[in-house]
Amino acid sequence: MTPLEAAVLLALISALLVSRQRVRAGPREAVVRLGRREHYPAAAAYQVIHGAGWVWPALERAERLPLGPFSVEVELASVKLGERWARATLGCRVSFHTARPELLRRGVEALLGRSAGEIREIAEIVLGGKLLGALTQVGLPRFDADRDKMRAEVLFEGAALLDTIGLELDIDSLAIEVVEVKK
Amino acid sequence: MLGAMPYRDDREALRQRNRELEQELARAREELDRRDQPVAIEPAPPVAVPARRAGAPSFVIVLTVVAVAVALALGSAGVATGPLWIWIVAPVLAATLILRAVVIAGPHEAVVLGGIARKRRDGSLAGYRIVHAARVFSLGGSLVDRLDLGIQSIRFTLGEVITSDAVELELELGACARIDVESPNFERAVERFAGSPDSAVRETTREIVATSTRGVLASHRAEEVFARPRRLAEAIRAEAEHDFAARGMAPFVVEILAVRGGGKR
Repeated sequence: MTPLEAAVLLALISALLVSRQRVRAGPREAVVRLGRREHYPAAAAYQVIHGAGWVWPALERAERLPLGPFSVEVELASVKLGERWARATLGCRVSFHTARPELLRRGVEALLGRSAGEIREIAEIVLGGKLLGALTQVGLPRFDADRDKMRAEVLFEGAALLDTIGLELDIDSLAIEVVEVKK
Repeated sequence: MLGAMPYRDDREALRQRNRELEQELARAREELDRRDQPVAIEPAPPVAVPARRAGAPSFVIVLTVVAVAVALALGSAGVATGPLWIWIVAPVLAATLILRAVVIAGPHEAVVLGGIARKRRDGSLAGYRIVHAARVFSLGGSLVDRLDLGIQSIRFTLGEVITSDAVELELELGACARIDVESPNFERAVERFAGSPDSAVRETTREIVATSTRGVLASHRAEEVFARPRRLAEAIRAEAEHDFAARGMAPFVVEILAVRGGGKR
């Protein structure tokens, strides 16, 4: 093999290596590159890549983070409000804060490796608790009058909590109906 | 005579009642014995072997091909390169060594490396090393486990919760918690959960929240539980914080999702 042939072979292999180690993120996901050196602060020990990026073979690895939006349906089947029982449903969407990198980093640290179903369940628990709290606080007689206030309260409290794990909340619908009247 | 009949009937009724109570007592004892039986412990599932690092075979092949190409190029240029098999075996060994020695841990996981003696700050010795959010080169350590540090959620129903006014309730609870890497008891959590299945964190969360819920509701009336679930959820979380911290964990959220029942015990 001549030096020229060897150089061509090396160039081809390098191209193969580059193409194999280049990771591409889909439109609704980010790639997190892991494997920075230990003396870096923890926040710099990984990098969130949108689009595409290069991962060093053997020295780094990449994991994918689904960014959403994830549809979340919360249903409280029977809530006691004084002498009445009501059913409440809340439809909303949660997604990662892609516009705010510092919040997205929180999401990476809390939820990387979680499936979409697991992220939905976390949101359901948070919003279910907030909805029950708001519903019992406002009460059924005043619900129609305070519907906006209640929606704002669930949105405010739920969003504040979900922010801490890098998730953004958007409420689509909120419905409440009386299902039983106790004598 | 007429007066004696009711007397006999009463005695008979008392005997009958006594027999019923004895039978009930026997059933309760059987139930207790059954509950006291040691729980059959299922064999722990084998520790999940971390998946082979993506791209590992191609890394070995590419490194070998590059070495062979360099050897051939040097040989054709008249440089003594020695036998070709060295240029094949050496890169394979080098690549295998690198792949074995390089440990990568993300911000959502902790990798436990066994077989490494190190001294803790308090002077005690530990036989393992924890890697979190970093890449390290470790020749001596063997990978024991990867611990998930992300938030894990659990929903469950807790029955037979007794309130201060002796009302029996059934609660649906939701909780999310994680192993807290910043906790002073983080190493305790590593020792507890290393080698356990991922569900162990959820199970521990369930136990802590269930215990705290029973404790909190024992000092609240049923009406308060129906009327102020948010306040009670905050109280349950506050009660559970200490138990979570003692296990090197941190709760993210504890919520009451439904309250049912209400019958007097």
